[in-house]
Amino acid sequence: MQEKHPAGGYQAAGTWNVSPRTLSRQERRTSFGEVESTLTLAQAVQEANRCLYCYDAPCIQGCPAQIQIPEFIARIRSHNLTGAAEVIYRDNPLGAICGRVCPVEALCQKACTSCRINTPIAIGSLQRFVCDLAIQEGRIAFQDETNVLGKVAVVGGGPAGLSCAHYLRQRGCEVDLFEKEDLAGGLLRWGIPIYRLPEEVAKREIDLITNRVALHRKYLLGTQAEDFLKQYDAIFLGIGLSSPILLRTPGADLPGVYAAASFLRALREKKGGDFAFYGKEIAVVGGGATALDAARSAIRLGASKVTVLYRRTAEEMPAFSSEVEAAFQEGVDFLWLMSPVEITPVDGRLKLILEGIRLGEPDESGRASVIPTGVRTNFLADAVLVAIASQAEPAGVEGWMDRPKVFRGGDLTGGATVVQAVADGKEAALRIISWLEKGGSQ
Amino acid sequence: MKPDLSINFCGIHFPNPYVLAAAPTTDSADQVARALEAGWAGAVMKTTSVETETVELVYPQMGGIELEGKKLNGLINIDLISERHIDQVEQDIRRLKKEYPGKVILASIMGSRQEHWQELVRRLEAAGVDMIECSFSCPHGMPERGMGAAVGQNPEFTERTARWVKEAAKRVPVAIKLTPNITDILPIAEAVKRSGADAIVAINTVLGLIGVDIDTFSPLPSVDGIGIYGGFSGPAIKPIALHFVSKIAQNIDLPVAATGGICTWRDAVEFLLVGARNLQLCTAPMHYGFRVIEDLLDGLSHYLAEKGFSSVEEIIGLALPKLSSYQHLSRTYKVVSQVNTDICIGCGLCFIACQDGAHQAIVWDAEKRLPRTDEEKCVGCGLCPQVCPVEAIALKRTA
Repeated sequence: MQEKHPAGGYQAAGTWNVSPRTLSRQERRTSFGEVESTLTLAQAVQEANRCLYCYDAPCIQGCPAQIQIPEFIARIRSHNLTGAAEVIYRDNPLGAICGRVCPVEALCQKACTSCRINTPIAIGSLQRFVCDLAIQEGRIAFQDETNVLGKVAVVGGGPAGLSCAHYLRQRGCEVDLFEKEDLAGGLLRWGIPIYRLPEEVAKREIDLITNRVALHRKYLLGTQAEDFLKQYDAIFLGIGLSSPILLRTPGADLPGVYAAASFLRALREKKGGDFAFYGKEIAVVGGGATALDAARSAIRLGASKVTVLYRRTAEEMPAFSSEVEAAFQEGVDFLWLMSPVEITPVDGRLKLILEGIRLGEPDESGRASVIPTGVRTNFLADAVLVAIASQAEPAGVEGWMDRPKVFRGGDLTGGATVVQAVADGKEAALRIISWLEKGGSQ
Repeated sequence: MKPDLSINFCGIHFPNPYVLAAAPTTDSADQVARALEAGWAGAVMKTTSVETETVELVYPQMGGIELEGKKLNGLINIDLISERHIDQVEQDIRRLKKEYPGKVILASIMGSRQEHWQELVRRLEAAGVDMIECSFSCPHGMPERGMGAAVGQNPEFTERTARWVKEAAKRVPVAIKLTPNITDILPIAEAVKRSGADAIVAINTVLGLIGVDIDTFSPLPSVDGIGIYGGFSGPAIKPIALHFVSKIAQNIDLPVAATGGICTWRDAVEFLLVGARNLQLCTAPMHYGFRVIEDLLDGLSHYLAEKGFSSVEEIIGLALPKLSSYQHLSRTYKVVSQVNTDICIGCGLCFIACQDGAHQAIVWDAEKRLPRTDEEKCVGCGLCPQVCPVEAIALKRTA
């Protein structure tokens, strides 16, 4: 907190746009420290002052969780930080997490009216500031209703399941949360690297939810699935897409070829030593968030060269522009329009045979189709991290997706961001609540 | 050709209209020398008194108003007159007049008894000061001792005291600095005129309480937990100063020096237009330093040149004939608000302001995120252009 000046007001304000303190390129190449710092109070108030407080607030339409953004920003402006936190947590129980990992440039900030006269308001940074301070000062204590509305099983402790569990608890449902790992959080715990989402930040907000439910850890649904349908009034499935899809090219099973997701998980489990990338050349195959997280993590382990191989171009990359930009700044190389067709061992290294790609008419996904050109080149690497796609892990629930008691959300239903998962979980919770209120009929 | 910025005030030649007001900025010759070097036309030395009037200042003395990220929209002080001995003030004046003969050095004085006022005048005149300013207006601290605003709030005291000063001043003109902390300035200004004094300076600070610390409940600025009312200055008081200055200029046949919220050359032009012949600044140089004079000077100069004036004298009082009373305002003049959709960014602030604060005459197209004026309903009140952040709304004349 800033020191209050004896004559009133706060020191160090002006009318400039603010940006958080950010680690230098060099610091990012040698540490997993969080890239951006939380804004100071003076910075946050300053940035909040730029908000136009639009009548119709297009930023809210850009937020999957529908946070009442101008309302929390107005509260920062008046130094009502508890009120600001209440506004955020009302619509998103993972406010500090989303303030860090949301692709704001494609969501709220893309819609910001200030884009038309200036840079958008730094909504993500402001949200992070409010939530960090509120949690740090212990101002977040969720009050749940006490009259029991029903008993619900939430399967999957990722952001969708956590969000669903939170809103169910708020309305007084008893919640059993089933998590296959020994800690809830899903991608927040095992996927997103700590330079984007520090362990402690994730833990604090996850705990604020899991402390209010019955958490069943290391629990795989398996064959008990059918019993669930009898035991619970409703079931939410937020099991995500935790199983990586591997390359099918010859050599994909060679030592040194890893699923990027497994690599990221090992780093979160502090087993980074298993991946001795210092001074090594690393190839990353794929163009999504996981590919970029893997590439940027490899840089931080001291890899001498990290190259992202993607079969389309920067335009079509599913990763968000801020992530691509950050990777580029940190020294990640990109090779566009290339796809590996074979991997062979050569003198203790890996030789990737890459085939050139030409883009054709859009396919059913709406993206340009991929047409191999037949032109081949060799690419040498010490390790290959594969991040091409992921799928749901078999959980024994495949057969009952369409049962009336069963609700779904998160990556499982096509979401691609944490905030979308939060929104799905909330929406499912509201549907479940309304269903229970009507006595369990749709 | 560059416009002539010099101005004659009470027979004294000022190289330009900008003078430092009596304040912390003028409490030493070194400070004033820096200002004169920077381009200021002159300075009113911080108010002095006779040695028997002991001054014991308290700290902190300043408080500011921050508004949406901009600091010092208004400044309050609980400073008093100079703590320095009058001998030092005399020395400062001698030095400054010697080093800067082309600049104007004024002394500000405050006393309680006739002999004090007259002694001050005689001593400072002898020291070589160009003009005497009498503070009848300090709103805090001094009135408790029957000084400052305690004089300037009473026409009888004002006239009598101004006469004492005028009697004693053999060589230099005398200006009386008035307080705005009064219901009607005209009886006081008339008293100044009757006294024979040469000019009026308006306004001193507005008595105010800058704020209360909501954690400690101490009024601000807080001196060991206790606060008092202070003198409020800066941009926030400009409308109050414009009111007093224009009223005096319209009604009293005396030259007026304006002070109160002048921060930019644009403010300066406005005060000249309502009849000020001299401009005193304090809060702006306290905030940003004496260097603000550069923009004050060339902004004024470019303005005059662009408007086709050859000297600053030509614009003095040009707005006064247009300052009238409510009964004389036109009943047939009609305007409506008009949104320029090429400039509009679709924030909807005009819509919500009109909806809740005016005549519900702006229609919101939610699809296009654009406002439109319903000219049937719009009375032309002029609220919407005030809230528009991008100047996309103008008032269009319809009759």
